[in-house]
Amino acid sequence: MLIFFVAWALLIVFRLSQIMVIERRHHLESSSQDGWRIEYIPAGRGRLLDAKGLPLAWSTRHFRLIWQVPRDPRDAEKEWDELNMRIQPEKHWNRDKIRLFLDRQILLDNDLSGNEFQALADMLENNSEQSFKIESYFKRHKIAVSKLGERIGKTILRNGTEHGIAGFEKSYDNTLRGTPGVIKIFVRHGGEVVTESKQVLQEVQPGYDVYLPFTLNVDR
Amino acid sequence: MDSSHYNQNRKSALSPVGWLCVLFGLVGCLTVMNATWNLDTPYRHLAGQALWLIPAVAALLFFTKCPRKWLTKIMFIGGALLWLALWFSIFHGVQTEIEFPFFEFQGFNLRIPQLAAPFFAFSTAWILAKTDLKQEQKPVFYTIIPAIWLFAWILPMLIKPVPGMVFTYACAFAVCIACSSSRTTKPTITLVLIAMLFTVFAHICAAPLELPRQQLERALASGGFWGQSLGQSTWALYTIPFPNQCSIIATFGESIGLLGLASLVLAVTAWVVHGYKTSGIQTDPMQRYAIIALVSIPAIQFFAHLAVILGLIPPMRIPLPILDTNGSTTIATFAIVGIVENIRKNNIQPMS
Repeated sequence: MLIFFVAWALLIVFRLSQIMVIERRHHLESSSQDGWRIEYIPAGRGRLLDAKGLPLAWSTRHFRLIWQVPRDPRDAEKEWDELNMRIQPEKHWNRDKIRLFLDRQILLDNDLSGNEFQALADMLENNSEQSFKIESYFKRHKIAVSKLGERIGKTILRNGTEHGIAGFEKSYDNTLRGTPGVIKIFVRHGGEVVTESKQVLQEVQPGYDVYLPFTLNVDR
Repeated sequence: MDSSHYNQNRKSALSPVGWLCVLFGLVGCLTVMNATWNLDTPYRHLAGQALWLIPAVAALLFFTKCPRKWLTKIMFIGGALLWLALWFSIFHGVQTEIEFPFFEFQGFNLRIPQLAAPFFAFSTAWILAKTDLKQEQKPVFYTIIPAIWLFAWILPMLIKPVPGMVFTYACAFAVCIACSSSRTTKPTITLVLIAMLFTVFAHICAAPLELPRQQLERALASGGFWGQSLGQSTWALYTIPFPNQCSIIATFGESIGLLGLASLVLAVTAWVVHGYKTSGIQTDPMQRYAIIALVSIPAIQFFAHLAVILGLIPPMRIPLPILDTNGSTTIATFAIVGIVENIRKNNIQPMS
């Protein structure tokens, strides 16, 4: 059986060598050429409401801004200046620092506000090279009532989807939690996404709201 | 092994293999930090991984130092309790669509199938050692018993399908059977194992998991031979969905390159060779089977996880020992190292 494990290890090292050394150039070139990409779409979690419809726990969608820094420093500075005219990225990024991340992707802002989103809209529309990308994610909030907070419970994130792990969040998890979507999309050379090529492997299904059988005043 | 070597080992808290295991644990912290540095709370992930190391090192020390007369009892009682916990977690654990139900406490998740792995291996060794001795009296009866034993362990994981752990358990069992001296056991058990693995693959085919294969390959290719250095695995971080979870080895691979990943594979292979050498000098069949089964579990998980990432076998959610954010697997792996070292040091005292 030792031979079996050694052979398995050799096979893995061979496959690693194949991807990381022998076919490396092909993979790196193809990364700047056309190709298919799989993306996950997190489903929005339903709200927990009291009997009168007052939200006790709810999810909010947030957006993060990602930037593929151009290879040429002058292009990078130009895009950086253009971005700075519209929004203020997170403080730890500055003009000097981005020179260290040429031809790489960086997270510029983890929580874009509505105004920032609007300010970026025209820039993203004209962004033919797709160097800026906005991704969405969810945060769960609950009403600030100390005793009720424990009964409401809490959630954790698993592959972008919120799962209830305690309290009502856990009891009604199947209803509250939606089904995340999985899509396959064609990406052209330079990162341009061909939206017509989108194939839905799994439909995104948002979670349902749950009305709890009490009102907040009675509970207090 | 002579008595001077035994006395020498007693002086240090851990054997060299134990220290290497701790080193692997620290590499696991590095892996997690490398895959989360771009998130808004990177130190929380690192602290979580480091906290898992505390019970893991405690388990390693406990099982290394545990007196032999207690070890067997602890393994049987622990095995029975964890088998019950498997069933309990089905009904009362946190239910998700993507993994076996688990228990959650203050953000830390306890996964029973992973934690039970060393206990399964130990008890399987006991069953095989017992049935081997009695094969000649009632060959059919003593051939069926190990198959029922395996089925009893796997049944909860077939009800709430967790193909990765079923695969791990079945493969560890198969490795033990392959090393078994009994000839009558092998054909029947082989059929059972084929049926078991068929069930796993049928489940995988029924609910196929999509892995971003092209993105994983490009992340690894970006690492090249030397790697991009730690914190620089930007291709993986920004193109692979959830780079700090199931794809963490690809993210780490981009940082440490082929050289680093091949070193990890070499280290795991050296661990298997060490285990098989240790099992070879055991006179007691139970100790021999126990070491083989215990050594096989982390090795199977590591190699199978890499095989999935590299596209050699279909995705089945096999946990990655120690390097992953899965703390239960870390504890189980440290416990396995402790038990193997305990048996190696005290091989003069037969278990069965």
